[in-house]
Amino acid sequence: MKKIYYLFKVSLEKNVKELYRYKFNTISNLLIFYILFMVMFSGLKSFGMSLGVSPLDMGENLEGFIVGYFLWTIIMVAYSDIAFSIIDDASKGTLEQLNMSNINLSQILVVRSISNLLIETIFSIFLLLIIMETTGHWLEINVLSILIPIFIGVFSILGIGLMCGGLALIFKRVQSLLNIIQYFLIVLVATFPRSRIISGLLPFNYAAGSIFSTMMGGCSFRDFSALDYGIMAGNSLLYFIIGLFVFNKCVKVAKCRGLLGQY
Amino acid sequence: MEAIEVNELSKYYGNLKAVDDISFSIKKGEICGILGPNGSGKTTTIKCICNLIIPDSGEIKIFGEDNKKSMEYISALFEGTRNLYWKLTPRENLRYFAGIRGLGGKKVERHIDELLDRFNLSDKKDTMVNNLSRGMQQKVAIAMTLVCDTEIILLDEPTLGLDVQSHIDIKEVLMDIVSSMNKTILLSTHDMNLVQDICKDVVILNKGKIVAQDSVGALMDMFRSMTYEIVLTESLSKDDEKYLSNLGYDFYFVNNGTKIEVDISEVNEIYAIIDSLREKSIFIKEIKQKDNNFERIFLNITNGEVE
Repeated sequence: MKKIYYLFKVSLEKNVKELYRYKFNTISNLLIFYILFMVMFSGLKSFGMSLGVSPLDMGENLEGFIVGYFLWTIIMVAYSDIAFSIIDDASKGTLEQLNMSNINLSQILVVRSISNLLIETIFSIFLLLIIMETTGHWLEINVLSILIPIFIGVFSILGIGLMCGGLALIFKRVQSLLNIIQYFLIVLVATFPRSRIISGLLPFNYAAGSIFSTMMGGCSFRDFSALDYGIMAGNSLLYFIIGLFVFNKCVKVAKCRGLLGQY
Repeated sequence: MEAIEVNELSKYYGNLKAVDDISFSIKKGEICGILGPNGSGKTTTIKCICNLIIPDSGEIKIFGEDNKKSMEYISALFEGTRNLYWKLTPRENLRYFAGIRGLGGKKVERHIDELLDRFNLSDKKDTMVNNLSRGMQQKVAIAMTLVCDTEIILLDEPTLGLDVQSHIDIKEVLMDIVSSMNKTILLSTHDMNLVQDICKDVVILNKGKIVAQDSVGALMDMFRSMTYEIVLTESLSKDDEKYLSNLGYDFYFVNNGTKIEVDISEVNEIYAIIDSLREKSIFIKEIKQKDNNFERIFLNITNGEVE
């Protein structure tokens, strides 16, 4: 456990340092997400008005939109971070060093992603506050009620990230696949099937639904049943295990073909 | 005790035989050079030892254990890659690479300070790596292999692409490690002077096979007294070079053809060579037996196939 602690600590430190040292990229990322959101938000608001619905009545839809956007940004990081960090390390010539650790490569990548996710969550909350201030549309947010389902459910997305990361180890350039998957992820955080089974089988979908219900339905994490938590955890575990399995197979293929570290 | 044992290792890439049934071992605390022309299988062998490449057959043992379960004993520096994060400082890089092996705390911080001090990097410890010279970056990369205090260090071309001063600095760093840190080192390099100065044993590969495996001293002894240097009064013509090449000796034409170096197996063969030169009216200014260097021995063993 101490090993993982040190790994997490240095990963967090590196992420923070790089955010500061690549400050242009950091600031422009924040700005782009903000501008993109505001454009979509204004579009949605005008759409409501053109339908003869007052902005007040559009309230629920706007809240849903804000929550969806917030979730999508976090999920985007969770699924793409592993693949992008493999591509980045392969091009920097540091991937071999990660592979030589006595900590398994998948563990290193997952811990690094979690540290990145933590930073992105803080950034997203910061962005959310700015968005709410600008739009004047304040949501009543119970942070714990959002973070608990995110924490339980996000491992399913990390599982998908591991699968993409495994492919990145072998093929290196998988950006087009990552681009396609991000559209699939929008569906996961925006559409909720009525059937618990279907929602429980789709990655992160049940957790996303629970977050929506806390943010818009006014319930808290205490209102979820044991079955709700069981479905969220089971779904997360299932996709994470599949992701680990696929990733470890890909590592083996890359090692057999001598592809580790090549870019 | 054997630190590294490589037994009957083979690796193919499709039809290409990268490593062909090689076996060698390195004792704890010794420094061994792995040499060979480009494409001879050095990097593949090193990466197999590091478990970055899975071989098709053969086994690798680290202190008697399968290498896949012994990564805590090995650290490595790879050729042609940067090995470091350029937007981090030397100190941050060392801390990071210790961290990804699950190490940290005050002991590691102290060790980092010692390493930065030992490699004269203390005044650059807070400078981002991309602002350091190539030689300093390489020093940081070597310090990175030492930060986890592993028993075994694998160095793939640590002096490649360095200017003269950086080359000297890195050589001093390596000699310091060898003399005072009691590490087992496997060094791949094209720099034969470096091999001669710091390696005890060498493994020479060619086309994936081991063509020589002995101590540097034994190989030097084997080839001693066999190289003669003949300085000529004027440059050889192309015809003369062709004539000499057809005599069946290993001639090396240097200094634009004003000097010939020749490897012979019997001392009295030098008289036959002198007679051949006289026959073609090639005048000798000076003749002497040359101190052998490891580069010539390497060229002899690999038949001059160094690219």
